[in-house]
Amino acid sequence: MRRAKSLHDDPALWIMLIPVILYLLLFRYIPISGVLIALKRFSPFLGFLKSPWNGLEYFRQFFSSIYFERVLRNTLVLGGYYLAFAFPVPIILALMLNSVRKPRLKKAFQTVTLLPHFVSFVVIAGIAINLLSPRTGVVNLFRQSIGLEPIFFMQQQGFFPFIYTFIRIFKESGYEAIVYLAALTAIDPTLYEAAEVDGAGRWRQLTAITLPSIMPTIVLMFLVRIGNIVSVSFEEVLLLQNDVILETSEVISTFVYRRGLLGADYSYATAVGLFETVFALILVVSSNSIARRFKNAASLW
Amino acid sequence: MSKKLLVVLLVALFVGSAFLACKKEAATPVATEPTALSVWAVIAAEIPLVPEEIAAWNVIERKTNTNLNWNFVSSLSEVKDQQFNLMVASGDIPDIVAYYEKSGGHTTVMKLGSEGAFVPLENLIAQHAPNLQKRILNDPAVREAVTAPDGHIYHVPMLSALSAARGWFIRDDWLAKVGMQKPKTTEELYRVLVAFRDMDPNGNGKKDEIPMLARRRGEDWAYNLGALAYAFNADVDFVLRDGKVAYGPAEPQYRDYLAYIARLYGEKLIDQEILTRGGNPRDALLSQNVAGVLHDWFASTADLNTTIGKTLPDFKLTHFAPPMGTVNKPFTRIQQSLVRADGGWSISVRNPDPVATIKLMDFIYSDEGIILTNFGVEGQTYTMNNGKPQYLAAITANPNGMGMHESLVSNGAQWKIGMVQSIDYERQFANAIATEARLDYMQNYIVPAFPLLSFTAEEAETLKDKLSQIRTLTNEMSARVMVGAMSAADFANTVSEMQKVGLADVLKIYQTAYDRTIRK
Repeated sequence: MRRAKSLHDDPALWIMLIPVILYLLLFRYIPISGVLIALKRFSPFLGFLKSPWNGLEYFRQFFSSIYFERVLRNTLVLGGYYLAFAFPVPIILALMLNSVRKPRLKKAFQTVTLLPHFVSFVVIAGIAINLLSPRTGVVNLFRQSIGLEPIFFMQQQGFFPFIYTFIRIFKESGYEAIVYLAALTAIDPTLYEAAEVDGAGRWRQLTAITLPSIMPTIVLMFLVRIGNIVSVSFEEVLLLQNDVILETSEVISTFVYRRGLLGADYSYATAVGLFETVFALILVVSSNSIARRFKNAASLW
Repeated sequence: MSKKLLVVLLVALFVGSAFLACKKEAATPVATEPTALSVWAVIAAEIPLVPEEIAAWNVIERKTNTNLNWNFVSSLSEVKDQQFNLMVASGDIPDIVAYYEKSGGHTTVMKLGSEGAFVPLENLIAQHAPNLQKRILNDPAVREAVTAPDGHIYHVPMLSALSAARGWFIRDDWLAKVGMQKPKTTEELYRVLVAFRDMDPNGNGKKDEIPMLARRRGEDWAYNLGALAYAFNADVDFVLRDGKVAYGPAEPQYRDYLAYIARLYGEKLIDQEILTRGGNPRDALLSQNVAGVLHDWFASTADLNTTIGKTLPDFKLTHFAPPMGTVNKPFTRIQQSLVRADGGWSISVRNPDPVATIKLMDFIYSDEGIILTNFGVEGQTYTMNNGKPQYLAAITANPNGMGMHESLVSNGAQWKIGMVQSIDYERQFANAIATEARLDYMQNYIVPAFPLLSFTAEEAETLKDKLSQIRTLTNEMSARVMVGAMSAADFANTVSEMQKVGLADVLKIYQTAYDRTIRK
């Protein structure tokens, strides 16, 4: 009833919705039918319809290959490191920026932390690889100057998740902090005044007012991140990895790229991509249902 | 209503095609209108090219009455393969496609050909192309190499004149400084490398020498370093043992090779950044005067004597024999087949005039075409000397400062298409050091390589699944042994992992394909 009425009242609003729906249909829903090539032995020349069916063969190949365990583990490890180390940083950063009293100083800090976000990752990866180079990198020159052996960081399996996470923190924290800063400005200042009157110190204000107020935002962002774990930033990983550390750096998305676009193995890559999507869906749905159990915390739906 | 629409469309189609056919028929008898053909090709050198301004190709177009519209892609394997795949996936295939794969070869071209993307060439050649007939159909070795598993030929290959491709080089002037001879065995090589590391042969007072370097090719870091495997009668790839196909890295002697390179790497005798270095470390490190031994292409490496010699007067790189480890006769399997894996072109089914196209390809294979695609235009880039073509300064001392290869490519020669490389080109392209090295290798060290096999679509499917895993294991685990993260003996575990993945199936497919090829 209400809906019908609103259609009648605001036709302009509904007309404005049409492009959005068209966009979603054209670019988000219709391409979904493309996953069918995971079940076919797709040849680009024969095309979508004429390629022969191949059943679940590519899923069997992927699940039984040495790559399955590896890409799944690496994806989860990189995603887990991200949640554990990188996720809290923008929150802390936002809280710190928020408590800077001088507006000019605050602006300067924010600009400096935001800047890396606008630098292409190609450049950042290049800088990182050069800084860590064993012969010419600053890090190893420093190690050598204090009498330590240089470490070839980019060639040792164990370092990769840390390097990756660190670079992500460096690049994105300032940008991600914006959301929290926005949430912080929405807090009613009278709450703080009341707390001060009641004799609450800054720490007490933080735990009793600030954090609870931005908690819905934090939970929301966390849920979005969990969904993204599986599709950990493709280009970031691709630009940093090399063959020696492939064993700890190959994630689902780079694997799909390698097999699908480089190897022209479209069906296989689609099967892997489909697995990635289903896995991400499970993660989001389950974490959302967990989030809904918490009182006054936001959930995606 | 939809039926009506269909009828209208069909009528339009018929009328349209009849009209087109008329137009074409009207054009052919006059034969002045050149056939316009689009060409997709991998560029032979990373330089900007304007084919319309290249004299040699203007002549070729005039003589064959064609008008070629070139679309070049970078030769970097990742770029080129991606572009090719996108081009095929888009369904918009140009009239002529000159593509070869990352690992070299034409398996993808053959597979797409079987699916109908490219025109089978045998009949066209037999009817219209006497030069291709002579060099491809009438030469069993060439014919075998270019025939797809379905029995058809889908590409006109690039043929080379010499088989020696890559070999070992050492800094002669450094050897003299440390007072040693060219190494004959792996132990002598080790001692020379230690001397290069410790005795400051570049004389700058710093211990900055990188005794040995070996360029990678894409992910394949054993591309050059793997030549050391022959010292232990091992192989980094498939190999024939008494008519049976074996996978080199699964053999026990492969671990001797691994142990040796791990020892060299551990003592900092091999470039420590071999696995991560980008660009062209060979030219960079040699011109910085820090590298002493390398395995690389004969001609371009020997050429560095000239280019680097300008700034480092003592610089002298000469070849040496493949070192011996457990074998008592030096040998190498590295060579190029006369059918080059990295060149050749095909006619797509979208091609409007396959006959004119095969005639163009045939012309390139004619004596006149060979001269044009190796030497360019007489008086501009070469001159005849005692009946043999000789490059002019435009090529040998390029006015724009390009190297000889780039200079040739910029004049339309040595492109990655179905052409025949002339022996006179080889003689002049390489300097005396290179020619001496190649002859030495050809006469004394090169033993037959593993033949170029072609697989059926079914076989290729299994290989894509299993062989890719086996290669991944080989590549990664060997790299781990080299950098010291795993012992060479533990590589035996990797071999049993390969067996679990399905090494036996892969070997069976290779054996079948081998038997099929040899019987043919």
